[in-house]
Amino acid sequence: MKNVLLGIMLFGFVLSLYAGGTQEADEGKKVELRFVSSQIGVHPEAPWLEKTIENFNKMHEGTINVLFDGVAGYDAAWMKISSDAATGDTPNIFMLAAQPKELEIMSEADAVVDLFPLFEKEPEYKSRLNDDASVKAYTVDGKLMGLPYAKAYIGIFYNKEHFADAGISVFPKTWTEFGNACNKLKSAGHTPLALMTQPSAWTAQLIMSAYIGTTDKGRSWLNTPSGEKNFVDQVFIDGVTKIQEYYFNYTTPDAIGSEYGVAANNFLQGKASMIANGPWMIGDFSNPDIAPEGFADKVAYEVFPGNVVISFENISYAVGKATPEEEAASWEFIKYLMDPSVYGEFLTISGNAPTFKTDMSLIIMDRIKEEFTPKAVNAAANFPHFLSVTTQEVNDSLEQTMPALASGDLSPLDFAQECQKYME
Amino acid sequence: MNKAKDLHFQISAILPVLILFSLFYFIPIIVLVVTSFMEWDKLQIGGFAGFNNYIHLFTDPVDSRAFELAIKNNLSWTLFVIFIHIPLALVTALILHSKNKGWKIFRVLFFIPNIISITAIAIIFRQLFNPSYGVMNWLFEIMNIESMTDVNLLFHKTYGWYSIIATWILYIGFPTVVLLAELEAIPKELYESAQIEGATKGQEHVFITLPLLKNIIGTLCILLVTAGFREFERIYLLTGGAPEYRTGTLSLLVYEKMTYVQFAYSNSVGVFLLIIGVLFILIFNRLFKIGKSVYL
Repeated sequence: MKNVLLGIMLFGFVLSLYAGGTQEADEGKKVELRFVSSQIGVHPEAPWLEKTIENFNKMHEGTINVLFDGVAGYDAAWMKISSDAATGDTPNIFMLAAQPKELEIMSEADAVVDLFPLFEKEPEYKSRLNDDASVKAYTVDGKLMGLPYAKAYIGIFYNKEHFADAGISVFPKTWTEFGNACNKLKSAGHTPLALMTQPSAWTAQLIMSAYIGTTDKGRSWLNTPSGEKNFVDQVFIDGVTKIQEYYFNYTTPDAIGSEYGVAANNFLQGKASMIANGPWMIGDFSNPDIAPEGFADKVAYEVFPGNVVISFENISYAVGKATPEEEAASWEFIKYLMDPSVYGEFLTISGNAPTFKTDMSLIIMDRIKEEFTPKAVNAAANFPHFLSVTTQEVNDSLEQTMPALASGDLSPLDFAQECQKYME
Repeated sequence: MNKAKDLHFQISAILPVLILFSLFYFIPIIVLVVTSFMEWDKLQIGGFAGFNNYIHLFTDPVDSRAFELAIKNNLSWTLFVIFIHIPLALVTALILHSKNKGWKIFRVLFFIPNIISITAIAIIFRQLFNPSYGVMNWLFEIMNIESMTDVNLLFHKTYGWYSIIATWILYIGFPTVVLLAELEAIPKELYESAQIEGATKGQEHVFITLPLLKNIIGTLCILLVTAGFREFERIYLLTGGAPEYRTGTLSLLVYEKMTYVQFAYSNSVGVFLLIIGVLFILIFNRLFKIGKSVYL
């Protein structure tokens, strides 16, 4: 009896080892690709991506199947991508930001397929890669790490009604006028700025970057390679001093400790008059789930004081190293992403600017973007924002240091010194 | 012969569990310890690094601060568990044990927070502490404490950590229910004998109840202290360790080092966590003499 029991238990154990096993694709038949991205759930581009993958799979039924492995939030997605790459299981296709550390990590680990040779073999696609800045942003040691897919011009959204209440007829052209406008808005009973501190102080660091980038010296500082920056430079300290002043005087009480959702909600609900953010926010203004009816009509989008605008490489799509069949199939998907109708839909939904030649008639721009785009394109200067020109350690340190700066526990000089320590 | 057969059967019966335990716990722990002594540059494991990764945690100007604060916070969490959380649960269990009217309802009410997800609790407390519309801000306003209105306590350099403690310290449902079950198991004859001898209620608790609860209190200390060391979700969602790591813990530091792709350092912190956890288990075992009867 005991032997029978033992036999049953051992059989059950051995059977359980086969549970969850997957069938390997037969050679010459369907290739399964794993695609990791943060464009899932409430991400505005999630419906576009879902539809794109579905259509691609239909077109390649029986030969290629793309499986979407979505992770909410880019930081969490990057955690997954880097952990998978560390164990030799790099996703076949994944989104990759133009962050120096991420590109360096992927390049040193040789985890990514260089797209240049693939483009060389297909002149039709190569001829569409015309944005040198975007291509350069994703090139490491002569290798193109990902297909540059989106770039954005970033300005500042403002509530026209609040400005009218405060008697401001023209958006401030200088930072002094900006400060005066904030005082007028406060006097009229409005909170001027929607700022935040967690996890990377996105809206606040955009304003700080814009302030720094108003001068040649500031732009030169922003463009210094991330690992060589001197944070104790006065031009950076001045920017930090300015943003601390804005935290102290011109923002909501819940800015400290709040994340993007709180800052965005403050602007959308009319609790703050201005928010610095990218064009992807435009869709939110007419979303009945999060904005009051008619809110989109109250919003305008302007370049920053000093007639400057932030430009940044938003995302690329990279191909992970794998079997030749998987890499070839991934390249097919990359080419599909370049299809003008697919790309046009993406640019319409995301509000981003194109990074390679495409049929511009397929991009539908709304009123806000139509008004903003010529101003952005003709701005006196454009430059990257702070988070895209510093190391990941410095970026991540903002989660710790920004609340302390905003509450006055850290002086601008101390903040700068902390950034320096994190970089080193 | 039968004994040998029995032994053979017993070993074979637990073999699958042993194999699974080795695969999913023992081997990963070995890997954790070994790689904490290796150089691990971004995604590439390098050579033997000796104690360099550990030395880094104590000497690096940035990481040593985060590490020191994490250890302090973890130790203070332990003290709160031992001196407030469990005693509070014990008092509540003793009150419920007296089975006054409605005691079953209160038993359920006390346990409800333990079945709500930590994510939900963290989100609720973020709103409670919100300086624009949260309950804390309202309380400070009606108490006329102007210096604290419009302040997010979670991100306060002094009160931040205690605000996080406040989100769990009163959730005594689990230890209360466990202590209550143990109290039910104490023979009533012991109390009857004590009453006959003229013992007061207090003496009954001191000389009968507490000694007989020794084992379960020690076990609860181990469970709750080690759970505290593993606590990640709550703190990550509430503050992420901010400001300046004042609300950081060792498990949060492990995560942070992984996001920096500094796997060697994260594994070093992980080994520290393991050692501290094992130390506390041994200390509580010794202190409470868990498994040994009081009266034998």
